[in-house]
Amino acid sequence: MAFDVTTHAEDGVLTVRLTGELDSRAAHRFNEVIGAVPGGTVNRLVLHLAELVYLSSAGLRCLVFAQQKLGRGTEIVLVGTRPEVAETITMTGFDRSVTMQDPVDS
Amino acid sequence: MTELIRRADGRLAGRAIAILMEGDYVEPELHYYERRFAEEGAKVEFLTRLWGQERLTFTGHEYRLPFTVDGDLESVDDERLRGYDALIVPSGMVSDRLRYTADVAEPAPAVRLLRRAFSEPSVLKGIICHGMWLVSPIPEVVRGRRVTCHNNLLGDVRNMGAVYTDQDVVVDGDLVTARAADRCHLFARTLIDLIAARADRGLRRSLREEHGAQVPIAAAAIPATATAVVTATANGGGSVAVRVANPARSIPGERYVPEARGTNGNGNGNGSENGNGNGNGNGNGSHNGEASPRETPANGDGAALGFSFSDLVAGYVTGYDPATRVLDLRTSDDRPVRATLTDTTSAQFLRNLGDPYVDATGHVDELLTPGRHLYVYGVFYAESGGHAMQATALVFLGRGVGDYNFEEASWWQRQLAELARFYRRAQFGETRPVNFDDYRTVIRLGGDKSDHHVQETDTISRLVYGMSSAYMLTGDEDFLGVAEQGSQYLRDHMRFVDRDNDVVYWYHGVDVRGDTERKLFTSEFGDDYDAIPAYEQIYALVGLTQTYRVTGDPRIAADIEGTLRLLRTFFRDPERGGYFSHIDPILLSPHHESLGANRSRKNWNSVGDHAPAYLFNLLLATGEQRHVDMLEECFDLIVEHFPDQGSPFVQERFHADWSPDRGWGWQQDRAVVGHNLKIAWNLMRMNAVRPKQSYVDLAERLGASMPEFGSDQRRGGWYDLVDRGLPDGGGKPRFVWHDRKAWWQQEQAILAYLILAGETGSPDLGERFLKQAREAASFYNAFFLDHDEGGVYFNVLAAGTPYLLGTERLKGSHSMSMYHAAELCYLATVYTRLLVSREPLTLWFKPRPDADRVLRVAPDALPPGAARLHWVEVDGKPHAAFDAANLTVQLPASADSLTVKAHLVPLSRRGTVR
Repeated sequence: MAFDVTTHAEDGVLTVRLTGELDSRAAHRFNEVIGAVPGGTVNRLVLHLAELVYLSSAGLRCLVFAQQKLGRGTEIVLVGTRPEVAETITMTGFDRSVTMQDPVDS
Repeated sequence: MTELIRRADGRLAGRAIAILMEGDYVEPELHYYERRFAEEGAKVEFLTRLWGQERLTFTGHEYRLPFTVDGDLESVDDERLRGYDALIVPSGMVSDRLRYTADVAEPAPAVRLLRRAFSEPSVLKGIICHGMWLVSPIPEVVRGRRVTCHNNLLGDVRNMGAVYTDQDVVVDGDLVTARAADRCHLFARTLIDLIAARADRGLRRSLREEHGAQVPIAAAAIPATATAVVTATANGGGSVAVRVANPARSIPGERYVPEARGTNGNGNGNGSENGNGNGNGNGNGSHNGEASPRETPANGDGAALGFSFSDLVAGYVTGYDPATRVLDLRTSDDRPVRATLTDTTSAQFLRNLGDPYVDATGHVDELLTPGRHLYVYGVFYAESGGHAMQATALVFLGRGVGDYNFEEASWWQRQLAELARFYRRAQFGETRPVNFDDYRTVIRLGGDKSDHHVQETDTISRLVYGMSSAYMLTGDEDFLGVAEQGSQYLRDHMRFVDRDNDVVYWYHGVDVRGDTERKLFTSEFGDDYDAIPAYEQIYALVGLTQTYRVTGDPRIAADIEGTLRLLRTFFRDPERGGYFSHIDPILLSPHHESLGANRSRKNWNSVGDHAPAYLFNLLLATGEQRHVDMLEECFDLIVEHFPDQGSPFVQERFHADWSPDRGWGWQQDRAVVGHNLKIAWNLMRMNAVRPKQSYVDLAERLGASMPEFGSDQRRGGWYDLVDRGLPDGGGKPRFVWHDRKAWWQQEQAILAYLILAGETGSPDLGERFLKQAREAASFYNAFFLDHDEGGVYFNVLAAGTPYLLGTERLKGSHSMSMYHAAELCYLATVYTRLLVSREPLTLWFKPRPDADRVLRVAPDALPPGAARLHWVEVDGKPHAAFDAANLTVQLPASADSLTVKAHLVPLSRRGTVR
């Protein structure tokens, strides 16, 4: 399943919708998208992951790196994470650093 | 009395022990000695004052048991006295009765015998309980020395000037004291170990030969004695000048902290040169004469500096005249210095962390004997065409000439326990078990926390290393508890398990606020920004590996293996060998353009730091040859690429093809002095594991050349960052930022020179290296220990005053967090005991139920046969299943962790020192 990423920024909230497989090849593209966000302009990053079926370690590194680059003031929310993707996240301890929500809350 | 059986094959066969006796003795104690020493094969002689009788029968204190003695202490001449390995003053009223004297002008015969024994370093003095009473007429023999005694005698021993130490048994060189008769088994055990160790290494004979004409290494041809206190011979001769090189320039600029990877803060190199004590008053007379031909001040004649300044001199006494109080010294590089003492000159003995201040001001005249090594701090006054130094404060390194307090058996071990207590209290308070949620990388000088919320992986792992090492030396389970909690915390909070690549890597750290933690993935340090440096991954393993040595925890082993796969897969250069210094955080590539100046680079840290940080310790824990192979590849690359004909210092940074990188950041074409020493130290460890002449050659070459270029031969101590090239026209390398001295570089010097002294094949080099080891350990112990707040200082100024500005005030950050200071204590104990002074060593381990059932207890990478496992205890009981030569213990199956005590003894082998 091809990877796709769409973003929408409004009132300091950056909403990112990920679909398909975020494998190591796709990670580079994802990193460019997320790296383009200027630090200090976003106080909330909301990632919709319900349609993300695979998250590679490289993809997750992009997320972790993004959190560090965006700075302390930015909260990251993962919405609708599938169990297999959630497991990848838990293995790196990154679940301690983000808020994980069910899709109904978004 | 039943016939005693003396074991002919005992450890003390052929040894003789004399025990003083009188009435009111403690029966179980004396009978214990009688049998215990015989059991080890020693001959025991009981001596008393016979008052002209052939024999006397005494009755015991408790049961009035008779005990007949026919040994006459008054007939013990010098030769017979020297035939004893130990002289024991036992508990009870024995000492009080023996100190009786009818002639009030003359001490009792037993006191005179004891005094003579104190002047024989080859005779151990064993004094237990109330036995210290016998010392009261001759307090000079214990002044400044560490002792223990019965609690009733606390005031007595303090009045004698001894340093009371709250322990069951205290060893202070050739003096062994014990608390009370009910500790006589511990006392006897210590004496047995010491006598056996001294016999093994032939120390008694060498001490005897040297006694009376011991020649200190650095002050050849000056007769001195090895006794504690002797009267100085006046020596007013030797007219010398004092000149100083121009003070080192100080360049403001970017703060540089090589290992510490300093954050910011602008060290502009100032700092008030305020020594200990103050030397006001007038200079009494100038003491200038012709300059030594070796002195060529860089800035013309010393008189050109027409102002006063204060400074430190480290030197060996060549002469002292108590009448004029003129003191002549020679520095480590053999330059003469003259100083004058005044009424306000203070003096102290070197002391350990946790020890009280021991004043020596009243004994300066007796202590300033030729050959003695000491520090003199003072003020230089411009006078009569030169500078006259007026001493304000002296630090004596030991009681006698050639004595160093840090060579006392438990010095480093006690220092490590003090460090561990400091960090435990600072980070976790009194909570049990400790909670690493409270851990903070930044702690202030006194150990309190700031509003900084970062927990760095490396600093936690370094703390864990220190705590595990403290457990290995002390057996204190509280320290091991901290190490295990820390290992768990690293696993839970700092670890990134990468399932795609089947590797483990470690976050730089986390920022914790309340319940939330923000992962800091890439390094936050300027040198490594936005990258994953090899250095941080390597040092993430330092504490985990040391804890794995102790507990054998398979979860830790799995994480170490995962990190090794990371290093092999992503950092290693498969074509040209070695490891790259940085990879990018997304693709994990060492060649990614985002790495900038760190792209496709290798450096000392990435190529060589594996060895000291974890790889030697992992080899010790597992014995696996693949780790030897990895070590060999690293050191072969170092030997091939690091030496440089154009500089006494190694090249530390490289491009992928091993061509030198001399344009990088703060390093440029500069040398970190401590890296050169670290390479020498670790080459010797490598040589012990897989010997190669090329390792020894480079280690000895660095060891021989570094003192001139990297150390301060006038004040002592080791410098930090210097130019690799020498100034035009020769001379010493220029400093880069400042002439301060960092604690971790002192550690490298001490360990490098101890291992070089212990293992070099050349007696001449061995003596030179031992002198360097002692000078480095002297400077570190004299100036880096923070007696006020605990822990050690980061930096001191050239003259030894702590530098406490900016990040250098902190005690937890970067590499400060216990690792280097603890590694020094641990390995200085191992090297001093097993390689240099040849004394036994006991280590503690705590293997878990799921640990491998073969426990490896080798204390470090030592040459085969350097040590032998002598006995093992498991859960407090003797354990026979061990391999004495291979230093392994076969563990029984167990549902709980086992407490294993491993007692190692040095083997007599090729020795060059002592």
